[in-house]
Amino acid sequence: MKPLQLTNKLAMATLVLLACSCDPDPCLDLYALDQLTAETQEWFLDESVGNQILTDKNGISQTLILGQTYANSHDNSVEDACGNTYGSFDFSIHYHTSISPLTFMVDIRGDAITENGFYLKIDTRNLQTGDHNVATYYFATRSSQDNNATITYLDNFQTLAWEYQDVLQITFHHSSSVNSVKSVYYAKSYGIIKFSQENGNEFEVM
Amino acid sequence: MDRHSFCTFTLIRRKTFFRRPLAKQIKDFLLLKAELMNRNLIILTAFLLLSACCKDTIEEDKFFLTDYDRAAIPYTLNQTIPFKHSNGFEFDLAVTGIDTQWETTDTKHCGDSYSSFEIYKVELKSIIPELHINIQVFPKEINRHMNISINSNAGFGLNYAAQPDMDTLILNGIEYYDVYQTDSFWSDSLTIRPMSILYNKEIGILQITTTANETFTIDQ
Repeated sequence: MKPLQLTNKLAMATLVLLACSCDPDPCLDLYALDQLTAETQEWFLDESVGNQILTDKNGISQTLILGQTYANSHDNSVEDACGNTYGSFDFSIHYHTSISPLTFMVDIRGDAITENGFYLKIDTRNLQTGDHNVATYYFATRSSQDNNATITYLDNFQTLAWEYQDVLQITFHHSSSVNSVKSVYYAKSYGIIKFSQENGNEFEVM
Repeated sequence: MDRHSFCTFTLIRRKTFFRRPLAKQIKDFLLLKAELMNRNLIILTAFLLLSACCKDTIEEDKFFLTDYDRAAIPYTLNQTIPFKHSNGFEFDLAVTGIDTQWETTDTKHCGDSYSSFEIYKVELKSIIPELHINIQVFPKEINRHMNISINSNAGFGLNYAAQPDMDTLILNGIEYYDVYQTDSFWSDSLTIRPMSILYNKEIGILQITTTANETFTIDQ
């Protein structure tokens, strides 16, 4: 056997071995995905929620302005080897405060392509100082993987005006100024209900 | 749901490009590359030709601020001014920045002349409530109004060269003379925003009123 033929045969054999050693992709767990989709979509903002009045702990009021909301969904975003397909969705909300220079972007997504495809992400910014914080809560693991924030799931949360069920408390660990957002409370279907700043001031939806 | 059930799945590719034979794909790619190169060459040549036609821009005028303009913002650096909210909360506004800068008028076309002008800027801040107030005056040839912005959420124009709106006004027990009032450009009363400002050329901001009728008033 010529050396060239031998090399070709060896290469072919290696390819066959490699192909055989690969595990086939597991099929999509459609039941679990349906559960995750339902759970994640419960955190969308209810259509009846609009601009809300915020009052800080000194009695100073302003408006939490609900900007544009964006919702999108796609059918058949992923396909497995068993012939199953699954869709994806995206819902985002943009808030800003009418007097304080703060903005909040909330992004809720569901995508079966990765383990952490179902999440709620909160992005806060101070437009005057440039302070910026981001944290993400993953519904599959019920946790956050961010080092810069702690996210706690609260079954009940009481504000001065209302009691809410199912609230995510996001507490940021790092701040670049006294005006940084320190914590945000996001209630299922109600959206942002409270936040505080590093300077100690707190704002609640009335 | 366990980790394995989430492993990599095949994305559905709807574009037919990837279904064509490899040789055809390579040929298409090379043709596309050549077309893009030609297009870039044409754009570059057009840009060079246009640039060559452009005359040098000329500074037509230079406008300076007068002492009268600067004196209309009576703050000194690091000064603190006590304020009180209508609910009783007391806080200080601090003067954190005073600066004079040069800016130029906008030019719309290549070769247009422009003017330079001074701007006198004063920045006031408070921590709670978080207020960032910027006050600016310009030479009268550029803008006769003093600009006041609060957290970039509200803008006001105050004609400080005109007659005051009020001869006297009592705020927190102190009588002020020659008081100017300026109202916000915003007219949306459903949103709580700064709505009007009372101003005095010797003291500065006397009062900010919001659309919720809450006030931030000087408390000397």
